[in-house]
Amino acid sequence: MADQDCLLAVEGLSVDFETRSGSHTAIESVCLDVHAGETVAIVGESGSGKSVTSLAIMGLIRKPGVIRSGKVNFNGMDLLALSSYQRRQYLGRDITMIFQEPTVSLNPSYTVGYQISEVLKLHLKMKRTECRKRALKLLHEVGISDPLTCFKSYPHQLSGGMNQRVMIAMAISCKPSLLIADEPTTALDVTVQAQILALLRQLQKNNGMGMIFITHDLSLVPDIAHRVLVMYAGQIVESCSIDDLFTGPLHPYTEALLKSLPAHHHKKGERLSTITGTPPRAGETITGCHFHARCSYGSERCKESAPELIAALPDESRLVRCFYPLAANSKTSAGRR
Amino acid sequence: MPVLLQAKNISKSYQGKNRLFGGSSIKVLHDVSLQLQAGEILAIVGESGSGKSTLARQLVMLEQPDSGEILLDGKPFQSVTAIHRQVRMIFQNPAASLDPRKRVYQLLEQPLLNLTGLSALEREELIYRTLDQVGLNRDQASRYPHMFSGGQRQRIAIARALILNPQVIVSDEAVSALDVSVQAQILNLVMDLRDQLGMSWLFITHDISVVNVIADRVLVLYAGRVMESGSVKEVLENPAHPYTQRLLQSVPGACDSDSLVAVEQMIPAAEAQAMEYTGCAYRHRCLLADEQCVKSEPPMISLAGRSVACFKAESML
Repeated sequence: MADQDCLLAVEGLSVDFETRSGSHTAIESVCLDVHAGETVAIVGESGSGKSVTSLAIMGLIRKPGVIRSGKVNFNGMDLLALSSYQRRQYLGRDITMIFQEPTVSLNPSYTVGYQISEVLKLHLKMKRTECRKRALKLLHEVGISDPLTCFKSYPHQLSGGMNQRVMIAMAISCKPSLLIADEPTTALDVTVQAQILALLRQLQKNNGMGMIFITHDLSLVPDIAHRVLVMYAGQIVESCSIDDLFTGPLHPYTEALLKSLPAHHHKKGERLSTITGTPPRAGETITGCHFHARCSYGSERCKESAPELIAALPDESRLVRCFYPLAANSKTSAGRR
Repeated sequence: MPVLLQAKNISKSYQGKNRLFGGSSIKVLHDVSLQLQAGEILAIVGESGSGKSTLARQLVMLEQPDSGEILLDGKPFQSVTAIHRQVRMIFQNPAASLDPRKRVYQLLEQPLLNLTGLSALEREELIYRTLDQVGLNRDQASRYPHMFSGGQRQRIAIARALILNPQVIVSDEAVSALDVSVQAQILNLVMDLRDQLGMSWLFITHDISVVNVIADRVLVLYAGRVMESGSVKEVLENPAHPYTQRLLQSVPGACDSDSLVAVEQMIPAAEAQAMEYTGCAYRHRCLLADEQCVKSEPPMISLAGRSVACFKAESML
């Protein structure tokens, strides 16, 4: 992909955690790029390294975590090479993040209005009255019907959905070019989840920002994302567009994930298909393909050597980390038809 | 099928703190009735604050309802110990509901010690058999809860509920905290156990797609009131209540939900409960609400094989 129109380009990012029992690899050579106006979803089970990826991009990895290697190019500048002071100029202004638990991420001892104003004061050097005006406008923008009351409220006085809207208002306050949403709807009700997704989609359309949407729920992905990265045990195992994902996943893990969705299941009383075994534990040394122990298609080759993330021919834009990509053949025949 | 567990018009209020809630108590359940038949899985769905968990707590007698009665096998609840043997509960977060300082063996032994007079040998046999049933092996009995993954912990919680061979299991959001792949395993386990042991499950969840897979019947709660109840097939394929329809639309991928942002007022079930109003509880969010809905509360009517509390139900079908 051409680099000049790329908003964020992550190359070969690896993060280790140093513990008493040795160094554990959390993510391994993760590559991803996000263009302006595009949403990239990162999907995976817990422990697959989704959140570590986003934290590493934000420069929020703390000890015992260490970024081993890699580059995070944002608008042509390597974020990891910057000092923390320099990086702070961009974080919260050009790159912002929404977290899973809005009630935990907001400070309980300040009003919502104060917390939004703080961002504006710091990054845009606004005066107090200006801040207030702008904060009210932002709250209105994220669909809060009574911004004035909300402005004066403390987080505990608002519902989870409202708090998440406040978080979003803070995140978009400086018109960021990249928004990272780490499981923004996991803690919310389905009805509220639908609203928050619609809101994020709308904001993205209006502001033209790039977005990284992290979730463990594959069923959300078609609603919001353009492209999807599937992660397993710290590696990206498949990268493709949304349409490709649902027409024919290439990696056995992606296929298994899709099959285990209750929504994909039609007959009552029939058992859901599951993935046998458990994901490798942190610190476990794995030789060969990380998924081979749970893969129903695995062979000797998968146990011995590790597959690379390569383009799945004939479609150059799809990447897959598997020696025997699944539907590749049927896919080409479908394409010809 | 015979009715096993029956709740008749149960109501429950909690006393709020004076300053926060204007000195009044909050009524969390309003005349909720339900029937659980032998060998069926009844799902209870609703948003947070709709009273799902409160209802569960009444049914396992962790709390006493203010009014109404609960019948097991047609008889009112006799003693707490008898109920705790027959009706067992599984909680949402296994990490929090399993004592971190006890080994799995001890966790499973505790209900046997409390509620049965089995000998040590009988207890051991039962514990190992139950572990088998939920797909854990014997070596794992000597481990502590933190040594297990989320899915395995939920299996331990299920084993603890199963071990007394109860008639009814009440599970409160048992799969919401799990990854989809693990969730599928636990759902399969629930279906297997139901088929093998023939017990009844009351399955509380907020996820409609889960209901579709495992439940026979479904009860939709909103602000502590039953909105609609009936067989899964009838209710989910052809909802008669606007709220049920709204829940179905919120399932990811169900419809293009861009319109939802502007249209819906933000009144979650929890807030609706605390408000003083007349008429239908859902009318603040309902697009069909008119004067009738403001004036009086819709009665529960039978319609097309389900019960529904809505004046507009007939026009919805």
